[in-house]
This record gives sequence, structure tokens and C-alpha cells, in this order.
Amino acid sequence: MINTLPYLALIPSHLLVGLAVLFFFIGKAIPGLKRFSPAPFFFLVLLAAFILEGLQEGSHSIFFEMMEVDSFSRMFNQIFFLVSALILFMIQHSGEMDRGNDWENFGLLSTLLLGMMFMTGATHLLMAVIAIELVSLPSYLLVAVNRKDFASKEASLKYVLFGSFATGIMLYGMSLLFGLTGSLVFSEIWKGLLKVELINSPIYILALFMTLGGISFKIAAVPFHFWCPDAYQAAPTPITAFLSVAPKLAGFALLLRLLFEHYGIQQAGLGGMISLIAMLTMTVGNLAALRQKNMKRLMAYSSISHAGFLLMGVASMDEVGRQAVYFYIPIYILMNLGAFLALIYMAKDEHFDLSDYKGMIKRAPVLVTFFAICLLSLVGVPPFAGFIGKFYLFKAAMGQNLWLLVFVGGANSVISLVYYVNILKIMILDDPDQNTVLVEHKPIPLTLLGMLSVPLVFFGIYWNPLLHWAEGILLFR
Amino acid sequence: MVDLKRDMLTPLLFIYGLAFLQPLFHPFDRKRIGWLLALLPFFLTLHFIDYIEPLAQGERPLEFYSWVPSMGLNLSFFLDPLSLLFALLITGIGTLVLIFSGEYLGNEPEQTRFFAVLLLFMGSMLGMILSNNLILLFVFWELTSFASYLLIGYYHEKQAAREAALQAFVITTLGGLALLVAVILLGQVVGSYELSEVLKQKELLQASPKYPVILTLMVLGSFTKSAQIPFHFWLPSAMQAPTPVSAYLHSATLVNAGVYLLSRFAPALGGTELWFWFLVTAGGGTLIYGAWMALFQHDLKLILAYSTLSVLGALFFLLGLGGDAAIGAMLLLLFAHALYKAALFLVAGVIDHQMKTRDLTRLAGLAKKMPWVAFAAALSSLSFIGLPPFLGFWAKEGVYSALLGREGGVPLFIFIMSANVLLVASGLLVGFYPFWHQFKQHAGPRHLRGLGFLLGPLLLALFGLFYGVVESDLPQKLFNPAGLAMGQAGTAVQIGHWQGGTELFFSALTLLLGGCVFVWRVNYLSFRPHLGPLAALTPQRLYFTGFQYLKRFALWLTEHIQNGYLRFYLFVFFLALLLLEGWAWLRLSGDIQLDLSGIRGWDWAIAFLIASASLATLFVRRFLFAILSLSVVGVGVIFLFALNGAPDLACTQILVEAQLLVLLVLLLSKLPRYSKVSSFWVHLRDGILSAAFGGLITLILLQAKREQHFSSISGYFKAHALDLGKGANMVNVILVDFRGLDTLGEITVLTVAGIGVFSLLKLKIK
Repeated sequence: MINTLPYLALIPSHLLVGLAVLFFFIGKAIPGLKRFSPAPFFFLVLLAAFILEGLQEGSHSIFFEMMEVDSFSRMFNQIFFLVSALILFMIQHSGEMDRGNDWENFGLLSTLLLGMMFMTGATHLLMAVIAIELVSLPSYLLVAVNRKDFASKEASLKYVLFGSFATGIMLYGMSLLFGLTGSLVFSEIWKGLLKVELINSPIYILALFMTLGGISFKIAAVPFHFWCPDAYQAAPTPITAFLSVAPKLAGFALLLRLLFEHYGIQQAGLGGMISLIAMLTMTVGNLAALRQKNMKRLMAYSSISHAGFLLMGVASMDEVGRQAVYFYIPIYILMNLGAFLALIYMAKDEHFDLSDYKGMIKRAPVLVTFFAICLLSLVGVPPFAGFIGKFYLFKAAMGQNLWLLVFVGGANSVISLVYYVNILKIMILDDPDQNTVLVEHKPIPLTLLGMLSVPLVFFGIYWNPLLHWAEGILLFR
Repeated sequence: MVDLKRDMLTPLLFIYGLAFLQPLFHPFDRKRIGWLLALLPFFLTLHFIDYIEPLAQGERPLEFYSWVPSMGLNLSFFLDPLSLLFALLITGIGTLVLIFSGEYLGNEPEQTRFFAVLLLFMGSMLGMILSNNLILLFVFWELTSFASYLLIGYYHEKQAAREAALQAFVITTLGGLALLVAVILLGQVVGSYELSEVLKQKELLQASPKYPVILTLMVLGSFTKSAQIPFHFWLPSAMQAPTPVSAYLHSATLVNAGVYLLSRFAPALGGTELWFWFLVTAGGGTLIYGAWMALFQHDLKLILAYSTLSVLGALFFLLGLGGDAAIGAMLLLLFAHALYKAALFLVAGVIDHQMKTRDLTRLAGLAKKMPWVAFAAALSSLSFIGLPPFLGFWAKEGVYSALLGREGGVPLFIFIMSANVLLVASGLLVGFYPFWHQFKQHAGPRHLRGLGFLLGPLLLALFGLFYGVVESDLPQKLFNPAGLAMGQAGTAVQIGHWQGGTELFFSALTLLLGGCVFVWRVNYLSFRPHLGPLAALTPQRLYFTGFQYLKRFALWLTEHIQNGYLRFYLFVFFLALLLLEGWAWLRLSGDIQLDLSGIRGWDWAIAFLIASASLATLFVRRFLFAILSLSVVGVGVIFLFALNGAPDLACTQILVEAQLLVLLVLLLSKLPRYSKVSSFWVHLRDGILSAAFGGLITLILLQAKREQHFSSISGYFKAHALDLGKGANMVNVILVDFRGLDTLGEITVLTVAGIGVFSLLKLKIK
């Protein structure tokens, strides 16, 4: 079993490599092909990959301890396939992307997916760097898909520069870690570090902070978040939706694996550093979101602050915290993608100003109701799932007596209330004027939006299934 | 069939169901819809009245459904006399308010939304007082805040209403979060989230080191909800809500939620020094502040709002004092206040509806045109000021005797009495002044029609009279058991039994002095908005300026942090790293030893070369020179590699440097002329940071030389070059054998980069 299964495990990634080759080269080589969108095909492959991941079990270390294939990576990969399928759908329904470039864009997406799969499986820092780069390079390009738009080009260029800087920092940190411990395998690093009791020595902190820097760049945590708002605003909305969910969660997967590959991690004294980053991240994200008038930028900052909340679960450095993170991830996906889908639906490719949504409820009551569910869940108001998610995160932090973090998290929840409720106020209480977007009724996106937002109510009231699922990942890992 | 006797979930489901279904009824008759909807709370009131008898005999119905057992969250409800008291208020007053609202809102198009939210509130409030599970209680608690937000902001076209709604929401959510933390902590200490379990653990809780934290957070939650100083300011602002809402939420039920919470936890958390000081200071402060502020308002609703604050303060004050007499007085005061204050609010609503104003300066002689309203107002106002034999009088008697019977209670008594004197004046101002005072010019009120307007105020006022006069078994059946549920030995609630002469004397004195204040207020004080000296102490201003500053800070932060300059982003990063490292370094300051032993002479020379070349890069004024000095840095690195036993790296580095140089020179033609982009100070700032950071890293690396914890790999190469690699030249063996793949990779990368450079060159030529 051990000998045969890893090959099955590799099939999804091989499928993606094949896809990338197909999209990049065949799509270019055969001129007539450009007229057909490969979206249905892509969708089927994603489905196949999803099923293939679901068929496997057990955990295997492959490529000389470079990667691990286990229920943890499979869970994340499946999430990524689902998210990508949804993004495909968003691309179909948004006019922001030139559909003539579908072959190229999907090629980039499948490369990105491949990178994320490596990120979730990596158990070796070199693999981690390669995976991060494999995610970053297509991301840079996807942000600048609208080639004629100057702002996208600028955002993308800054993203590239900042990304290379982050990679450089990470490599420097890695070399220090290697110098200290003589290994780049996650568990070996911790064994080395904890054995020699380097903890709290300057070089230890330097090495770790720099190494974590590369990951922080992916999850857009302070001080590596700077690229985020520009890139999110400049990218087409489906891409923004994708970037705000998938690579961010891949970053979390990598972070969790890096930290928890060794059982003794609690002695590493990282809780303080991570909770500091968590506090800064949520505060910077929220404060900036407070004054935004552009919905996409607002969502960018809000996703920064949510990374901070997720880090809260990591900061507690125990199983309770990890379970809280696993629990929050599907909820975060549902509410964030739901909000972006509603945005694509409402904005009609150009209306991203908050003032364009005045009195929307009179024009599209069902749409606004679904959107409101997503937003209220993002605030974390009961009885929506976001509340339960935050509840577990706070509980985890409290369990480790991280009181300052709890306090800052609480204050941030209140701040986030102000700007999310402001959106609701504009859409529900204000009267429509001549700027208000006229939305036509489109049943399919609306149904999909309902499928994203109704579970938020369901899980807000009955979240046992989600909890068991999160426990399941914890047990296997 | 469901056995209603044991069932508490069903009423909630009924109310929530009605909230969703009631839009269906609206097409029939907009004005009568209130009557129809009120049927449900009416029957629920009867349902809860049925409970009075069995509960007084000690029955405690429980209802339990497992929900998320792993988290300790259950749909678990219970009913005891304390919750019953609140349940009766919620459903009883709710019935009257629903009838009144139908009439009051009349033809407003958004009536449907209003009733939906009002019913949502009713269900959540009822759910809160029935929950036997802490987390469930918190969820209902938050739902009431949310409903209150929607109701205050009902007139959403008004800026003031929106601001007041947001303000109340922010404040109560803050309190809600505090409550949530307290709840989790309670669960951690006790090991269960079931309320009945938690309440049994008094010793465990009070001995726990977390007790002060739990109590503080719990008190914080209650104070925000019940508008105690310093969170009191949202309540007067909340008067932007439609008047039935003010009557229901902001005097009779919602604002009592905080009182309920602390009363509920009094047996477990109460009785300590901390408890006493929290409640007595905040309660006392709010008591006197509200009474004082009420006197200077000229808007009927604001007078009522401030006097509500004052009574809420009194409730907390009595709760803080503790003891049978004080708790009994508190419960009676709570009940009496809910009745007369809701009635007075409804009266204010009628006046507002008919006269289109609530301004005392513009109202006069209303008694002639609306005699029944005047009657209701007079009755409830008499209960308010505490004239015998109204229910309010017995409550006041109870308070006085509780304080006078207490050791050292005299200063507290004087304090309470002076607040009461002020309240008497406010009561007369609201209940009598607009009706009986004749004014030169007044517009005649329209003829009042609609029983819906009258029913609420009249019934509530008559209740206050009825229970004061008739000798009922209310104390034995309701208040004493409630006191028992709060851990008292029983309450000394007396209705209809004259206390000693002392209390009666002071009651009369209160009335007399209050009358004098009223006369003074009417004749000698202008009716202009006069705030009084206490107005300077406004946390409201603090809230607003705080909010403004937060917004401004947010803007500033976003502009300055997210300014779009990559160089600034790097600056932030390096600064963060510097601070982190500096902090780590300081913690170790005793243990720093620099090991300079291994550094040879040429190392120093190369370091000097690199450093001076870097500096030159910064200071030369032409790009070409800058690039050249950068290559000198590269050359230094090449030397370092070569001299430290890594010839392969040195080779690679040479190639990399060469390609880089070509690339940069190619770029030169595309670059604008050399110009100064930032000021001297920015340069200085960056220079200082760079120097500090570079210095720190150097120090750390020197320090790290001591941290060699495993053997170097070069020893392995040296030992095995011959037997494993079959070569005498170690460098060769490393390059092509031990690190063969590395070399291959390096060659590939360099080739690809070279192709890139070459294609750029070709482009250039074209």
C-alpha cells in the first residue's frame, strides 16, 4: 500500500501540470482553438482531481522528505479545487476579464494551483520556497491581466518587486536556519533549535522572522501586507476573490505545517511573536478599511484583518487553536467568496463605489439579503457562522491567556462592525438615486450565492458537522 | 400536543414565527394589525401567569435539548420566579405596546419591518431571561442589541437617528464582547456552561484568581446594556426611536437586561467588596446624574429617558447593597417603574402623535382635549413620584426602609432621598405640566380617536393603582420567591402595610421638597435647553471625539502606511526587524560575547572594500559610477568566497556579477537623468536605519559564530574526496560529484539568464 499509493497521490498534480502545458502551448499552437473556452474542460479536470484526492488515505512522505501527502494536505487541496471551480464560474459571469485570453489565464491558474498543492504538502524549506514562487509568479501575472489598465500594471510591478524582496528575505532566513541546525526539514529544524536552546537569542528570532516573512507575504500579514490593497483593487474581481482566499489559505497551511511538524513547538516561545503579528495585522487591516469608499479595496483590507484573526488561532500554539483555524477556514471561504460573488453580480464590472449601492435592497432584495448574510458573518454577529468561528478563535487565545490579543481582537471586531454595517446601511436604509446600479435578475449566480450564504446561517445555528470535520483533520495530522 | 406547562421553547418559536409570518396579515387592516399581533403576547402573558403559583411552591421547570455538546452549548431553558417577573413584564407590556404601535405608526409604509423587528426583539429578550445556558444567553443578548439597533434607526432618513443607532450598537456590542469573554471564563472555571451549574459554584468562583476579571467583564456588559455611567449616553440619544420602542425597549425591558444579568449572577458573584463598590458607585452616580439631568430637559421623552437612567442607577445601587430589604425594594421598584414609565412613554407618544411636538414649552392645556390621556398620565405620574397608595409609593417605602434599617445607611439614605426629590419634580413636569398648565397661545389638539392609543397607558396606570390599593398576594407569590431565587432569605416587600412613621415622614418630606423644586423649576428656570453643570462630564463627547479621532487616525494611518512607495514599505520592514532584534538583543545583554578570533587580516581588508564600495554607491552622482561601485561590492564577495574555500561559488558569482553589470548598463539608457527624489532628512533617516540594521546583523552574526552546534560538512568532503569521488582535487570533486546537481542547476540558471541578456542586447541593437 505504501509503495503504490503515493503515485495515486501524485496524479492530481500531474493533471495540473498537463493542464498547464495544454493551456499554454496547445492553446497557442492551434489557432482555431482560441474561439472555444476551455472552462468546461478545466472544470471537469478540477472535479476529477477533487475526487482523486478524496479516494486516498493514510500519510506518506515523498521526494526524500520534501513533501508529505496526508489528510491535512488533501483537505486543503480539495478546498482549493472547489474554490477554483467557483472562480471559474465567477470568470464566466464577470465581464472584467478578456475571454479571448482564457487559455492563458487558465494556464496561469493551473500553475498557481500546482504551487498551492506543493505549499500544503511541503515539509522542507526549499520545497516551500519553490512552492511559494510557483504561486507568486502566476499571481503577479493574473493581477495584470488587464494589460491596458495602467493601475494594474503598476500594482503588478510593485507586487513583483515586493514579492522578490520577500523571497530574498525568506532565503536569507533559511540560510541562517540551516547554519544553526544543519537541516531544512521542518521537524529537523525544530529538533535542532529546541535542542540547543537558542530560544530568545537574537539570531534565532532573526532567522525565524525572516523565514516566516516569506509566508507572511503570502497570507498578507503585517509588515508584508503592503502589496495587498493595490493588487486586489487592480486585479479583475474574480482574481481578487481567488487571491483573497486560496493563496492565503495555502500560506496558512504552510505555516501550520512548519510550526506543528514538531510536537514540542510550544516551547519555542513563538506565541508572543505571532500574536504581535496577529494584532498588528487585524488592526492595520481594520483601520484602513474604516475609511474606504471602494468596495474592492475595502474587501482587501478586510481580508487582511481576517488573516489577523486566523493568526490568533495559530498564536495559541495548541490543538485548540489549530482546530479553531480549521473550523474558521471553510466559513471564511464561504463568506468571503459569497461577498465577492455578490460584488461581481452587483458591480457589473465597474461600479465599485460604495455610493453606487444606495438603496439596493429595493432593486434586488434577495441579492442584498444574501450579501448581508455574508457581511454580518464577516463581522461575527450571532447567529451567523462567522460568530462561531471567531468564538473558537477567541477561546483558543484565552486558553493560553493571551489577554492582550483577546482585547485587541475584541476592539477590532467592534471597528469592523462599523464599516460592514455602514455597507448594509447604504444598501438597505438609504434611498436609491440615479447612481444606484440597476441589476438585472440572473438566476444562476443568485442560486450560487444562496448556496454560499445559506450555509452561513445553517452553520451559525448548527455547527456540529463542521466541528467534527475540523477535529478529523486534527486527528490525522 | 405540547405540554405548555413545561415548555419554554415553544413560546419563543411562536414569537419568531409570527415575526416572519406577520407580513401576510398586513394587507387587511393597517391600523388594527396591532390588535391581531398582540393576541400572541397576550396569551403568553396568561401562560406565564399560570406559572406564578407552582413556581412560588418551589417548582423549577427545565427544558433541555442537546445542541453542540462538544462545546457545552445546549438549548436549555428554565424558569424561576426571577425570570418569571421579567417574562411577565416582557409579554404583558409587549401586548399593550403592540396594540399601541399599530395605532401610532398608522399608515407608515415600513410598518411591516417595524413589527418584524419588534417581535424579533420580544422573542430574543424572552429567550435571554429563559436561557439556562450561558452561551445561549449571550446569543439572545446580542440579538436584543441588534434589534435595538434596527429600532432606534427606524427613522433612517434622519441623520441623528442613524448616529444614535450606531452609537447604541457599538456600545452594547462592546459590552456584549465583554460578556462573551466573561462567559467563556466562567465556563473555564466551573467546567460547564449550564447556568444552574455555574450558580451553585459560589465558593469556587469567588476563590478563583479569575474572579475579579469575570466580575469586571460581567459588570461592563451589564452597564453598557443598562446605560450606567460611563456608558449612559446612548440611552438619551436612543430617544430617536419611535415612542412605542422607547416605552418598550428603553424603559421597561431591554435596559433591564443588565439588571437581570447581575441579579441572576448575584448568588454566585455577589456579596464581595468589588461587587459592592462597582454597583454602588456606578449606580449611585447614574442615579443622581439622571435625576439632575431630567430636570433640565424640555423634551418630554428626554425627561423620561434621564429619569429612567436614574431609576436604573437606583436598581444597581440596591443590588450592590444586597440584603433582603434592599433586594426586595429593588424588585418592587423594577416592577413599579416598568409599569409607570411605559405608561408615561406611551402618553408622550400620544402627545407627539397628536400635537406633532413633545416640547414642554409648546404644550399646554391638553387635559381639556384629551381627558383620558390626562387621567392616565396623572395616575402613572403619581405612581412615579410615590404618592400613596400607588405602587411607586410602596417601592419608595421599601427603598427608604432598606436604607434606614441598615447600619451606616443614613448618608446613603440622604443621597437617595435627594435624587428622589429631583425625580418628583420631573414626574410632575411630565405627568401634569403639559395637561393642566394654561398657556397663552396653543393650537388645539386634534380629536383623539382610537382605543389603541388609550388602552396601553390607562391599563398600565390602573395596574399601578390597583396593586397599590388592593391587598394582593403579589409579594408572597412573586417578589419573595424572586428574592429567594437571588439567594436572599426572602424579601421584605410590603404592599399595603404601612411601615413605621419614619419612612412615611420622609416620603412626605420628599414629596414636599419635590413640589418645591417643581415650582422653582417652572417659575424660575427658563425652558431653554439648559444642561446644568454636570453636563460638562460627558462620556458622550468622549465617545464622539474618540470616534472622530479613530476615523482620523485610520485615515492618517492608511495615507502614511499605505502610501504606495515601495522604499517606504521596505523601511517599515527593516524597522520592524530592527526593533524585534534590538529587543531580543537587550534581553540577552549580559550574555554577549563577540568572537573575533577566526577573522583573518584579509577578511578585514575585504570587509573594508565592500563597505567603502557600498558607501560610494550611495554618494556618487551618476548611475554609471553607482553601478560600477556596486560591482566592486560583488568583487569583494567573490574574494570572500574564494578565500573561504568555496571556489565553485566564487566562479558562479563572477558570472552572475558579469551578467548583472551588462543588464544594469543596458538599463541605463532607459533611465531618466539622475535626480534627487527625497530630501536630506529622508536620506538621514534611511541612513541611520541602514547603519543600525547592518551593525546589528553584523553583531548577531559574530555572536552566532559561537553557536556552532553540528560539525561542518567540509570535514566530510575533505575525508571522502578520494575514496568516494575518486579525485585528488577536492574542488573538482565537490563541483562535479558531491554537488554535481547544484552545479548543473547553476549552469542552467546562468544560461537562461544569459539568453535573456543576449536577447536584450539584440533588442538594443535594433
